[in-house]
Amino acid sequence: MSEHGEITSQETDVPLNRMETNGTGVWFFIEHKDDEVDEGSLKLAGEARLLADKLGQETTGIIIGSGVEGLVGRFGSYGIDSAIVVEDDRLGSYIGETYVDILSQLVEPNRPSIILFAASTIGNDLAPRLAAKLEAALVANYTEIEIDKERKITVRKAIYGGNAQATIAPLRSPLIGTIDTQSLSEQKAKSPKDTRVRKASVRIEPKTSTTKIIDYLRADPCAVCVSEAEIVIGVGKGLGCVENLDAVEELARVMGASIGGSRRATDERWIADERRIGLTGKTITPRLYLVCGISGAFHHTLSIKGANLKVAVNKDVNAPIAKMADLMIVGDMQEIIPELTKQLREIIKPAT
Amino acid sequence: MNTIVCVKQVPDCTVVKYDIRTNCLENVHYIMDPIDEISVSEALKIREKNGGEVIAITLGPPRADKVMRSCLKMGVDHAVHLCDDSFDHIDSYATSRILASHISQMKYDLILCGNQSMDEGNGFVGPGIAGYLKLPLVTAVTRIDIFTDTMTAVVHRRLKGGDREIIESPLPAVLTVETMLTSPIYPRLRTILVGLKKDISTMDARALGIDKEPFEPAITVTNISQPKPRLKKTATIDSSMTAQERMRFLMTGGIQQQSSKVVQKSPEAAAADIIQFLIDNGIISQKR
Ligand SMILES: Cc1cc2nc3c(=O)[nH]c(=O)nc-3n(C[C@H](O)[C@H](O)[C@H](O)COP(=O)(O)OP(=O)(O)OC[C@H]3O[C@@H](n4cnc5c(N)ncnc54)[C@H](O)[C@@H]3O)c2cc1C
Ligand SMILES: Nc1ncnc2c1ncn2[C@@H]1O[C@H](COP(=O)(O)O)[C@@H](O)[C@H]1O
Repeated sequence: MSEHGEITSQETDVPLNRMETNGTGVWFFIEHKDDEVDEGSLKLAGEARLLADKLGQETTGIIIGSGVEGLVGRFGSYGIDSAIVVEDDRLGSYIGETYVDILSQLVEPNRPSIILFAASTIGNDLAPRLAAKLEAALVANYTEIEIDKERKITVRKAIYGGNAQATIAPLRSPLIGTIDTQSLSEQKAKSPKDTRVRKASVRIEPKTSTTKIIDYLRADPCAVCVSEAEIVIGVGKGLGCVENLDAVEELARVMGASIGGSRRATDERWIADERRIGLTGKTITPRLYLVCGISGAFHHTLSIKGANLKVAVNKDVNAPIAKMADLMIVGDMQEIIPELTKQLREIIKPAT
Repeated sequence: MNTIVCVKQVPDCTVVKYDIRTNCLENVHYIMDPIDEISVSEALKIREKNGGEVIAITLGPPRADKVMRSCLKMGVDHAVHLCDDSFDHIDSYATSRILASHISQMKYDLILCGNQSMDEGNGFVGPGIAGYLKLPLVTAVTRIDIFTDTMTAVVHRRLKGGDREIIESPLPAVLTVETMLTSPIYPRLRTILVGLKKDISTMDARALGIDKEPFEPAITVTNISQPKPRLKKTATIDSSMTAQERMRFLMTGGIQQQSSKVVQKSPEAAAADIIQFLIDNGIISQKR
């Protein structure tokens, strides 16, 4: 039995690698749900690999849960050297206090130089807890980590609501960073690796968790506030009349989307004021914003910059929204929306 | 039931601008962080139901006494301002240590912080205080119910896509709150007048007993500059671009007019194109 926190390689004849003796390496935290790796964690792996290459160090993914070893294989094509796997039946769902206890046991003897988290509901909870526990340097929501020739690390992040940028020097090790993984692109490695599984033996004390999860409330994606929705359909003046909303609602049900709209749509009372998007309404950050019959006035687009993908449906090819959209469909929303609903019903299901 | 609310003074981020010519921040108006206005309001509602006191605390330069005054006008019982030249330019790590070391001398059942501040958005001070004081912590809280008979809090924690986790925590605890927790309260004139007269208790490093062993920061900000836009994920520099286009590309993070695909087809074909685009981008997956 190894010391607590010490990592044992699965194939015992593999010598301890450099990383473990030097006490360096770039780590990243893997999130997963229903036996699938979170897409953001795959992007985070690519980011970790790039940083590790610059530092001349290895990359290690940390995965905690029950029955999760099989997920490690996904990381080979991202050039990840190894994954530390902590498995226990009691680790089925995320509990901050327990997870931070496990992570700190792993970090202390192994001394990675950087630990990355997605700026997700888990990462935003876990990263500051870990930083507090390790008295480490935390940069939340960083945009860029720079490593110069002397391997000095500087970090950049947006501050003051995006109106300025700060350059930050970490004064302690490890550097713990969280990043919006939607801003990262997928970085597969040129030469894939056989990601080595390393089982870690850690103390798991469920008692350390003084808080207790007593229930889970699953939101109805169509009813949820537009500012929290993963998919938003926005309607504007182009809706024409309230009767046309039925078709939009049907599409929203199929896609699991929340309906919002422009000021014109709320002024017409087609949709509720609390669903207005824009300067005098809500700010949205969904994975997809489907913009139908909205011209794209500045007062509206101000609040949709955080949407990861924007697909616009508009009759007018010159509508300002075309400048922002990742995909611009020129056409009549009254014709396209029912067709979209029909085709979606036939061939696909929502990803999450 | 005593609640301590940590309150931060921040530049109003909706109006502050970085001026490229002067390399300075312009239009800097200091306000109470809106998220902290939410926690103060919630603390006052908790007091209304359960009795006890609400204490607001801030660490900041002399001008931060303004936010303590605002808290008093909202109706908090006491306001504490930790203020010392040596606190200038400290990071959120040191901030949380100093706040925690003073809070440890106070009588409290609940500590509220914002989940992420408006100006820096570190989300560290709450977890930092909880870590230092070894208290239970729940982050991203959207609802709080206090049970004084069992000294527990039942809270909702915000998850992805509007989902919520309901968590029970013993008190005292640290909770970091989200903006949707409650709406700001509008105090009555009498409350405001009382608040105007109250004293703010200001303490320097010596009074806090931390002049001997300062808390070393974990990070330092070396430069503040003009915001640099993120590269658009699909952006690649196209050699067919004109010099002017390329410049705009670099300035805006991608020529978005050109990166957007324009499709004009029959409704059937257009819908099929949208679906393919959604599949390619991992928004939807094909039925297995
Ligand atoms: C102080 C202030 C605050 C404001 N705040 C907000 C705010 O918070 N949010 C907001 O949205 N607006 C706000 N506005 C209003 C804003 O300036 C615009 O007037 C508004 O966003 C326009 O709404 P729209 O795009 O729905 O309508 P329009 O500008 O009329 O655009 C309608 C679009 O629909 C297209 N269209 C028409 N028929 C069809 C069809 N059959 N199929 C497809 N496309 C079609 C047209 O080509 C056009 O592009 C504010 C304005 C002011 C002055
Ligand atoms: N200087 C400060 N004084 C008092 N409270 C603070 C201070 N800085 C941060 N906080 C609290 O911590 C929260 C999160 O701040 P941050 O860690 O900067 O994201 C804020 O909303 C405040 O509640």
